Amino acid sequence: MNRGIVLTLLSLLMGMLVCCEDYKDCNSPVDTSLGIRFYRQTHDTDRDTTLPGLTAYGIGRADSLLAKRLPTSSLFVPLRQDQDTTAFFLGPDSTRRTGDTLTLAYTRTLHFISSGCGFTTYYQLDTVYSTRHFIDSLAVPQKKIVTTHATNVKIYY
Amino acid sequence: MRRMLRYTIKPALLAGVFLGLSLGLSLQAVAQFSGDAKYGFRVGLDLSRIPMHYLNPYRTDLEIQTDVRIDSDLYVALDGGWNRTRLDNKPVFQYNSQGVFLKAGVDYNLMKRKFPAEANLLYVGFRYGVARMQRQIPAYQVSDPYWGSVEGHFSQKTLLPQWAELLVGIKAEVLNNLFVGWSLHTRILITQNLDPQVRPYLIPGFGKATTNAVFDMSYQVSYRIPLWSPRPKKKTPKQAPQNSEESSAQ
Repeated sequence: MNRGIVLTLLSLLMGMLVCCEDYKDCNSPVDTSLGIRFYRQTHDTDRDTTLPGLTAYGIGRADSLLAKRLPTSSLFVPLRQDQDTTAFFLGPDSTRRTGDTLTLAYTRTLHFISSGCGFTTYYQLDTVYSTRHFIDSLAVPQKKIVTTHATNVKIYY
Repeated sequence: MRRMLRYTIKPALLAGVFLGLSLGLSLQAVAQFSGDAKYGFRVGLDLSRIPMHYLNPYRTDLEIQTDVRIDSDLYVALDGGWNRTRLDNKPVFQYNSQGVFLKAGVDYNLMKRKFPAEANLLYVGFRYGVARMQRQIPAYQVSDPYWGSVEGHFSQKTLLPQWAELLVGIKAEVLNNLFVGWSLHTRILITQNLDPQVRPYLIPGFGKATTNAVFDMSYQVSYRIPLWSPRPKKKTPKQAPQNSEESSAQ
C-alpha cells in the first residue's frame, strides 16, 4: 500500500483521539424512584397481585396523581429530595374512597453521574410503615434506592 | 445522525490533515545535518492544544516540553503547563476548573544514528505527573417534575492528582536545532478518590478524567539550545608493542 495512504489513515486515527466531544449528552439513567410491588400472601407463598383500580399520590400533592384508578401490580414513585421523609396515599380499589398512607424515612446522598446528566439523589431507606386499612404487611427487600429500578418495598394485601 | 457526523468527521479530517502534514514533514527531515554530536537543552511547545481548543472550546491548554540529553540515547524530560475548563450545561450542571501541572521523566532513543550528529529520534518515555487544580461547581440542579427540582452548588476545592505516563514518539530535526515531532501517550491516574463529591472532568496535563486511563497525542515544535558537546573518548594506546620495544632496549 502507498505510504501516503498509510500515513493519512494513521493521521485520521490520531485525529480521532483529539476529536470533539459533547459534554452535554446524558446517556446514563438518572431516575431513582422507589419501586413498590403488590402481593397477596397465601399459604406462606408470595403471589403477585394486580390492584384493580389503584389511586396513588404523594401526601401534599393530591392534585397530581401517580396512579389514577388503573389496574396496577407495581409502581415507581419519586421520593422528596428536600426532606428525609415522604408519604404516599395508596387507594387499592376505585370503588372505595379510603386507602392507606405509606410513609418512608430515609437518608439522602447526592451522587454525581456526568457533566451531561449532572447529579441524582441516592436514598437509603431507614423506616417504612403504613396504616392498615387494606394493607396487611410490608417488607423491604432492597433498602438502597439507586438507578436500577429494583423493587424496594413489597406491600401485602 | 447528521449531528454525529458534524461532531466527528469534520474535526477528525481537520486534525488528520494537520497531523498528516506534520508527519510528512517529520519523515522527510532525515539526516540533513552533519557535524559533531550536540548535547543541549531543548524547549518546545505542544501545538496540538490549539486545534484541541477549536474542537473542544470548553478547554484551554498550554503545554511546554523540555529535555536535556545526558547520554548518547538518554534524555531527562520536564514538561509543564496549564489548563482551564469551563462546562456550561445550564441548568443541570456548571463546572469550572483551573490548574497547573508538572511532569518529570526520561526519554530513550531507539533509533540507531547513521552518523554521530544525527538528532532525529524515535523514542519511548516515562513521566510521573502531578497537578494542582481548583474546581468549583457554581450551580447544579437535580430535576424532579413531581416534588420540585433541587438546586445547589459546591464551593471551590483544591485537588492534587498524580499519574504515571508512558509515551512513544518521533522528533525530527527539520532545520538546524529546530525539531518537529509527535507522540502518543497513555496515562494512568494514581490518585484514587480524588474528590468524593464530584470527579474532576479534566485534570491539567492528564486530560479527561472521567476514566482512570486515557490516551492522548501531542504535536511538538521544539528548539535545541546547544550548550555543550561531549568529550571525545580517549583512545588507549596499545601497550604490548611498547613493552616489547622497552624490553629489547634493555
